[in-house]
Amino acid sequence: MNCHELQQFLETREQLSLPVECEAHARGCPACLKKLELHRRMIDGLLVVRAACRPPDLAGAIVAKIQSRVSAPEPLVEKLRRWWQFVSPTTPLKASVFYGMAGVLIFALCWAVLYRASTLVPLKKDEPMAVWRVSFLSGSVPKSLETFLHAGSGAIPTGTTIETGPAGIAQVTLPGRCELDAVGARLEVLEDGIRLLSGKANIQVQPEAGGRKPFKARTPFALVTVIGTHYSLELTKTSLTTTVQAGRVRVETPGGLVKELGAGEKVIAGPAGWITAPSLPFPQPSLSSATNTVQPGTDRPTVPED
Amino acid sequence: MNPSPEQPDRFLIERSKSGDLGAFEALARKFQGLVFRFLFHFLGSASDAEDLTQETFLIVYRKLSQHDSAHSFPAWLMAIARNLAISYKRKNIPFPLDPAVIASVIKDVCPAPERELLMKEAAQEVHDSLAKLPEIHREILVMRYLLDLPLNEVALLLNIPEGTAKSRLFKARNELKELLESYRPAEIPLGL
Repeated sequence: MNCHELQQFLETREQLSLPVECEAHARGCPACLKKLELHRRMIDGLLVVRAACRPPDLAGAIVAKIQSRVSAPEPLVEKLRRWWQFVSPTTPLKASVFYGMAGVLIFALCWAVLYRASTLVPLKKDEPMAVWRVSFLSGSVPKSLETFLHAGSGAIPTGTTIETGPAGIAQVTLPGRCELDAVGARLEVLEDGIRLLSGKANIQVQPEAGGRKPFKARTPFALVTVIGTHYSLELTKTSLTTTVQAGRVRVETPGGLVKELGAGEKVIAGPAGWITAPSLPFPQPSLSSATNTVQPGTDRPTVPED
Repeated sequence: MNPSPEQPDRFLIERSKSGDLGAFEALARKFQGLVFRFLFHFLGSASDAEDLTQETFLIVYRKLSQHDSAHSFPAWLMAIARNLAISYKRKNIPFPLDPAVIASVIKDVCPAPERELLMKEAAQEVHDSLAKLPEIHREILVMRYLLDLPLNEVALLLNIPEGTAKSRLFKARNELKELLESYRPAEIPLGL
């Protein structure tokens, strides 16, 4: 045996044992002797380590654990621990899936934040809040409004309910947007319109700058939407009469029926839908005379009996 | 008939699948040594090996219905133990071998009393160096030389061709020799 053969032998022999030829060659070759000593040290170590392992009897403990787990439900902490063991990136495959998913999640979050930021409309901090004003032309001022009004008139916040009483008249305005005469009416002023609870209201709406935001009058029987027009509403317990003096008005019942009225047309809506179809145009008043259709004392409309 | 470890694997597995805990206990008693020895040498710690051996058999019991009887049960069992051992966050420094155990086994292993000390040192060196090997090399050395399994069985357990197992074994052995050649005793962790 020569040095090359010994080297081959040590590297490619599966068994750990060494034949006598190796020993014989190594006695005369210091380099091979060193390699042989190292190999022998490895064999000795492996032999002792192999013998040093004394497996304990765990079968009883395993069965006891199984029995306790069968009788008791698995605690949440244990479930979480096992779940984390399953997903934690401990192997190359798991690590690639774990970090890949984390990357996708971070990318999605960044994209969502950046995309949202680009589509957000900045708040118009300088835009004034809608402030309604009310002025009682006749009838008594309700107690709930006394704190807001001086001498029967003043500004009121959105959400306030105005009640004129059976024969009272109040002029309600949203400056630059709406002028409204409430006659024997009860109504609530809102951000984008009013809610008519009872009585009659003659409404004149100016188109808003930009003209996209409609003015809405809500009633139990219909939602009346306009951009800019002049019309009147009369709400009784059984019906809502919408009469248009100028412009166009859209009337929509809770049942989904929709009518668009032009100048001079009117429609009556009840709980079950339309009571009458739009009437033929009646003689149209001029816009200048129709800005305030209710003149206190002189042009007082009749209050419906029901 | 009471189940015992001497009965065939298939019989014990079928009985265990039907909920017979006695059969499963016999199955665990039959294979616990193999699993424990693999985990002990792979992790370098007896207490970790004990915990993971129990965990391995708990998983085996839970997933026994998924075991295909056409495949080798020991291979399936060892695959579970191996995955658990790889997932387990072990310390880089292995626990030192128990001197009492070494002293008791050295006489059985060592043919000449004058070599006892050398063999003790070699055992500690091999034990420490194994912990420094990559998992892929450590597991094949443990299976072939410490569990004394034939190479074809090792290939079966690792689910690789026999030729691949052989070349991997030689690489692992050479790497172990390199580590032994440059061996410096590991620092014993505080508190042990």
